[in-house]
Amino acid sequence: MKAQRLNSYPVLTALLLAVFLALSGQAWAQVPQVLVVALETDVVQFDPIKIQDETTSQVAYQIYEHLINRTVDGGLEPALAVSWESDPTGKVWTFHLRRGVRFHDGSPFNAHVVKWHFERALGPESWFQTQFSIIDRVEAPDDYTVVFYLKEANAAFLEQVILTNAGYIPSKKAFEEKGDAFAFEPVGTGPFKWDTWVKGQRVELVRNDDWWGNGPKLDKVVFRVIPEANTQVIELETGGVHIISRAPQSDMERLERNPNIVVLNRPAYRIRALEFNVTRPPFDDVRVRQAIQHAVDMRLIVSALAEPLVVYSDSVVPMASWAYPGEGVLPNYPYNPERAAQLLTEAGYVRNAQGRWVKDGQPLRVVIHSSDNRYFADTDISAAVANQLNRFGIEATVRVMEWAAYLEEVRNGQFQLAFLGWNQSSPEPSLFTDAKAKTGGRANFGGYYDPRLDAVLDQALRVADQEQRKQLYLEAQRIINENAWFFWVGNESRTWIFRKEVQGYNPSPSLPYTYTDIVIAR
Amino acid sequence: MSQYVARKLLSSILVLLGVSVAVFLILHLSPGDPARLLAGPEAYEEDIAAIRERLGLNDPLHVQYGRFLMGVLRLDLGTSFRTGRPVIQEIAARFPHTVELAVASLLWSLPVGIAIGVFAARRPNSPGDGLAMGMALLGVSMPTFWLGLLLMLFFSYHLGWLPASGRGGSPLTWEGLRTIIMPALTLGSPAAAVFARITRSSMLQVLDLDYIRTARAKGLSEWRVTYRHALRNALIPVITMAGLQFGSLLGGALVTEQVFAWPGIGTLLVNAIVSRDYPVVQGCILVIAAAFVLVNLAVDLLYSLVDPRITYS
Repeated sequence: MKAQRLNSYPVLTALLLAVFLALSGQAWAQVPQVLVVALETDVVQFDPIKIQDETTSQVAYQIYEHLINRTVDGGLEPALAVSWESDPTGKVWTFHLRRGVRFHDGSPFNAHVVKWHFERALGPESWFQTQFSIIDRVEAPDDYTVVFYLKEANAAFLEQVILTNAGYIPSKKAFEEKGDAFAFEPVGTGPFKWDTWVKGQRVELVRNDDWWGNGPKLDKVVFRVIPEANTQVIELETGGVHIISRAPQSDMERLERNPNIVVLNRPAYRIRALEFNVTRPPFDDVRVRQAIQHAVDMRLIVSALAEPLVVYSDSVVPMASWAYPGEGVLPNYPYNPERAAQLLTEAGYVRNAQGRWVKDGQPLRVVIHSSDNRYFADTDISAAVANQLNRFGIEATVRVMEWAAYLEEVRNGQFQLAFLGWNQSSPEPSLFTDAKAKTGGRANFGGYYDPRLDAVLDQALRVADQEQRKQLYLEAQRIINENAWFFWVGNESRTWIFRKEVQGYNPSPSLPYTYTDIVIAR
Repeated sequence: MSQYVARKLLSSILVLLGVSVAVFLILHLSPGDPARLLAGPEAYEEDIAAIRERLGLNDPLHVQYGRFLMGVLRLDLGTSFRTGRPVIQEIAARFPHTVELAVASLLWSLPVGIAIGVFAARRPNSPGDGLAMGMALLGVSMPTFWLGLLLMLFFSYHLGWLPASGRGGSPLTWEGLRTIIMPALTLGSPAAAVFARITRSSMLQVLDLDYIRTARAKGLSEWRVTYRHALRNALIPVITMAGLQFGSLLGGALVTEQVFAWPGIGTLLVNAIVSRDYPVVQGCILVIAAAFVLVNLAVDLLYSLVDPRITYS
């Protein structure tokens, strides 16, 4: 009897152990998958027709969806629309919608909601009214077909309308029921649903189990507001967050050496340049613009101060775009002080006894406007350019300004030469050429005007064939560089910094961040 | 007493009016267009113009100020340009967090500062005095930004004891307490140093007075002389300074809040200034100024409690 009882101890122990393991295993399996992402600023509001900041757009992208999406490699794929086509004239775009999709509030997604949304985006409340004004009307012939009629053919319609922040489709029912609160409790069809917003602290989203796509694998995404870059880094290193939005340059080397951290640099659609104001002397003279470029070794400056995050490039079209012809194809003005001197002499300048360039007794003075850390190494690059110009005999100074004041002066044309950037999330060349260089372009701050260029750009939007478009954009880039309106600095990459346990994260320069494939490894 | 309070309140209103005019003018005269910033750098001029019109920014300055002032009289601070939410709501969501941080800072910095000041005053020009005043000098001159990062590196990165940033809820909870320790230490350090220096000099003056000599001659213990007789009189300037410090902690926690991602009015104000969100900036400054004025009024009234010789008429 005693022996039997003794024998039962191991059995009992084994049983208890098994129960414990089963329970703990179950508990382990039930540990929620929560991704914590650092945001530099708090989100603002979620009415898609008024979202302009990157932070809100990033969070909104998890909740709302577009009709179509960009793929990681820059192509297009179905999202809320399963297919789409334009008619031969390029003026009528038809989208066939996904069936069975529901908004987070249970209301059905259909063509009538899409029509309602884009009509609202065309209205006076919208901050995209002008951009969307290429649309003549939107029609919903049946529940799952939407047709956009454009005023004229536009090959960049998808980029200009569908893939913008205002292209996010919200729930019409939520808009009607929530009133003003609609902008603060977004309801979309996306992989995550709105849960909590503690102002100034965090936003929490939970998984949408009814999402039509594959995933998401996470239970929850928490966005924490951490304004300071140094604090973001410490939070990342101590495991307080999984993904950060930025890090001081001085920390990058340490982060790259940290085995628990992944640092990814990928080429992005972000161009940087010193832009000339051609509406007044001295830069109304193309020879002076060319001379300035020949007088400065921009390649050296970029490689010394900004590589690898910024790579020298010579065009308004980013290197990662299909329309970029490759280095050395376009006319350019590389470092050549003799040529610079020759051009200034042709423009009527002479070197005085002190070695300074003067015209009619007046020295050639250049003030370089620079933002303060808006773009990577902006002030450093501007200062280096000024130094080289001074060495060449041109009096150059740098005026560094806070962003709001800077934007005001630049937009009002109160500058000679300004460090500026242009970011897009698409390789579509018109987003760069038309904005920066076309007459009246929305980011044409230097007063650039060339009817030849405008004609080429208009034609390039009307043509559907990509090879033909490529040739037209090559011509456009050639004209832009011949005019020497821009002193090219280069393309800025995007950096992603996250913890190693974040697996399945494949960030892309052409997409907002997507978290549907992410798993937190333990 | 009530007449005194009424007079003070009236002058406070005038001060706040002056503050509102100054802030309004500074905002509107400094460069930067709110509509342009709202619409983003990619916006079209037509859309920016429409936003400007909708926000009422095309109206003459006196009309805009009048609108703001009429709103304030109805306790309506306007609507945020950026979020479209009432400014009152934006501030109400943040200001209590600033107050709790300011209180937490004062709760440790005041007793510690006074203790160090008394310690130094009791042994003037000794090595202990030198050490105490050296620490105070360090506390006053150390940039809060730097101190915050040092604390974070030590307590979060190396020791892993405290979360690096954020607010973990009410400071009365364990998580909340853990998150407020470092910001309160950072914010309170310069204040503690100021309290120490003021207490020391005030104590040195009082300890030289005749009644202290009398107290000692009566055979009272040194502890009783210092804490019952000298300190009470020496506290008047410390209380004044505590009031000023509390007022400035309420409005001056911008750097600490940024470093520790503390969701207070400082962070709200910084973001509002950067984005030229005029109503939020005006609202924040007005609330901070009102808090400052009220705290100082409270301090004025507190004098009579500490020193019964002070009366108000």
